Amino acid sequence: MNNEPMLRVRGLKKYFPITTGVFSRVVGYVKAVDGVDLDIFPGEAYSLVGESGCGKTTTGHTILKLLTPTEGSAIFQGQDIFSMSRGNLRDMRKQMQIIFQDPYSSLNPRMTVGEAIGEALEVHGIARGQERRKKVEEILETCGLAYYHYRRYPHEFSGGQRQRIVIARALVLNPQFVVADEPISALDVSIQSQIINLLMDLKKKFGLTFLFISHDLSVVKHMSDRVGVMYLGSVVEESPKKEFYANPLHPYSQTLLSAVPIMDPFRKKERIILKGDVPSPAKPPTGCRFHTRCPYVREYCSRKKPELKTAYGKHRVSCHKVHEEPEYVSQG
Amino acid sequence: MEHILQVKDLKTTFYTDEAVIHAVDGVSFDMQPGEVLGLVGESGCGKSVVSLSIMRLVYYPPGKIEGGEVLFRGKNLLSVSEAQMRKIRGNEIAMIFQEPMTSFNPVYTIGNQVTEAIKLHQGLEGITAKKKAIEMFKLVGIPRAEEILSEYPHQLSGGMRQRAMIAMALSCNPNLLIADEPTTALDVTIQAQILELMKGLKRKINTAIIFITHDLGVIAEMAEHVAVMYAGKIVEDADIGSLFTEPLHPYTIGLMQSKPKLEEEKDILAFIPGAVPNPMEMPVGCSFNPRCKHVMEICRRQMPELIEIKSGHKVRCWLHSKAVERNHEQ
Repeated sequence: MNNEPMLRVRGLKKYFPITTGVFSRVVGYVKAVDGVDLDIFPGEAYSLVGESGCGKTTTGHTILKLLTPTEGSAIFQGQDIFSMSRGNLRDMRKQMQIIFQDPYSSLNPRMTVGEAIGEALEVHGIARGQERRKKVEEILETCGLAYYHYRRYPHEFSGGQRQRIVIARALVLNPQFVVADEPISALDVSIQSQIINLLMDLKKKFGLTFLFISHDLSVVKHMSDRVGVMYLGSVVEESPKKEFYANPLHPYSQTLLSAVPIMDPFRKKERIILKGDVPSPAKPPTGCRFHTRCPYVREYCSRKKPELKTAYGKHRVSCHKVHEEPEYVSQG
Repeated sequence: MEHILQVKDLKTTFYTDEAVIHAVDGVSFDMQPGEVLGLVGESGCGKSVVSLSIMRLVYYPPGKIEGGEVLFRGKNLLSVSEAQMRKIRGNEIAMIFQEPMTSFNPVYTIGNQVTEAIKLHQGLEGITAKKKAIEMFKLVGIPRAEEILSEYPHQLSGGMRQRAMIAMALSCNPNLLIADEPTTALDVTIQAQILELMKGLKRKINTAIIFITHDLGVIAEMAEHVAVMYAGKIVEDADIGSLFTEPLHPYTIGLMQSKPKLEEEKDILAFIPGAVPNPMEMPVGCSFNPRCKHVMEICRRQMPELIEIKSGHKVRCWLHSKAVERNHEQ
């Protein structure tokens, strides 16, 4: 692995205003992403995991500037995406693509597969006419479809095939970096593994760098090199995959892992059951965001927000307990 | 022991402009009182239509229950009058739906909806009905029970709404509870809470449960007996231990192998090729044959029967039916 990250995100924040009344007065903000730092290295698959509303999808979309960030910077191959002109950004988009969650809503029903995939080639002035067609047919076959699907419409395909079309559309420009936002969660169980295998295959074949966004820890374990766990807009733990699954440090990560149902009726799993629900990101708790549900909470946690710091090696975590903060320890 | 529910050769068909779809095509199973039956399958396999048919909530057009029997405590629900059926629905048989957001009416308070069933079926009025509702809320672990009764569904989180749904379903002490993907719309930590709650309740109130899901992990935790469905038919039927230690149908095996697991490391996942068949173009013979890696000539001609291979373990597959025949001949 290279030492220079392909993508460096610093202090990323995305707040959505809450408005009220006829004049849309802003009465508050939903802090969907609240200070996220990420380094994604060439050739790696980085996974952001968390429950709905934790800000993982917003992070992915904001990095690509599909949403305008509130604060922060994203440096992709030495260039700041957020301060780029529209023309430059369009050029940059050739290098960075996205695969959306729901293949039923991310394909235009009035465009044939050939048009949907070929449009990008034309917009970026890469290929037209016969050449465009050839390129589209090639990528269709790479993604496990057939060249004669070129003239068909999305409704003629099953969910799994549609997701292959969406993947083909993302890859036809030869991008280096792909954000895959829950690429399999809308698919049937028996189809999911086909798509996982395809993505892993393509990663190897094209040397892709992936940011996977997922809520499924067993899928993430299969697909990624590094894992970041998000809770209420912040990354609370980040680690190479092996260390993370062998030794999750943050109490929230431990809970998530213990909550995954296992396919073995004979094994009784020690399960941590959290109290309550995820608090509203419009009114996040003070101090550590997780303190309202944490089994190890002490008074100090509600006062001071822990930083994401190295625990050992490349394993970073934000938790007063793990870092044995003197004030936390003294309250025990 | 007497069966609480016997479904015999149930057939439910949908008539659309384009085609006739056999959503449930000859499904049979039995349930003992207090048993938890898991009904597993992918979208479109007919598992939800089975539950709607038991409740007689399939309406024509386009759907029609065309054959079979649903014997609930010996009484065939398919031949009772609508008025009688209303007395059973929500009372002796209750149901929990997948999406707690859409299964409550947004313009009525939670209390209004939960007490409705209690008033209707148990004849309780006003304060006593409310007391009963609060008691149920406490049973399912809803905090501030009294306040929540006067709140509207949108004011509750997904997990709380599902708890309220469970409280409502259990308020008339049903003999049978049908839970249709009750945790699918929820986050993993909330799913863990709800599963834990349902397991606890099962111990307390001995209701038979049909647990419908596509997630074999959830099944492994909840069910005592499992029926795997594919394209409108049960393809495998076994008790939980036997199914997970020795799955027989290639589809069941494929499902189990294709899911990545936390406790193992693999480079390439096993997968089932192709996709679930289009219900308008069902393959001839066994409906799994285009995706099956053990496909034989007979599979393309004739649908196998659901046959008991060992005690309590049934499978619908020529691989095994053939083996049984050979044993008989010897």
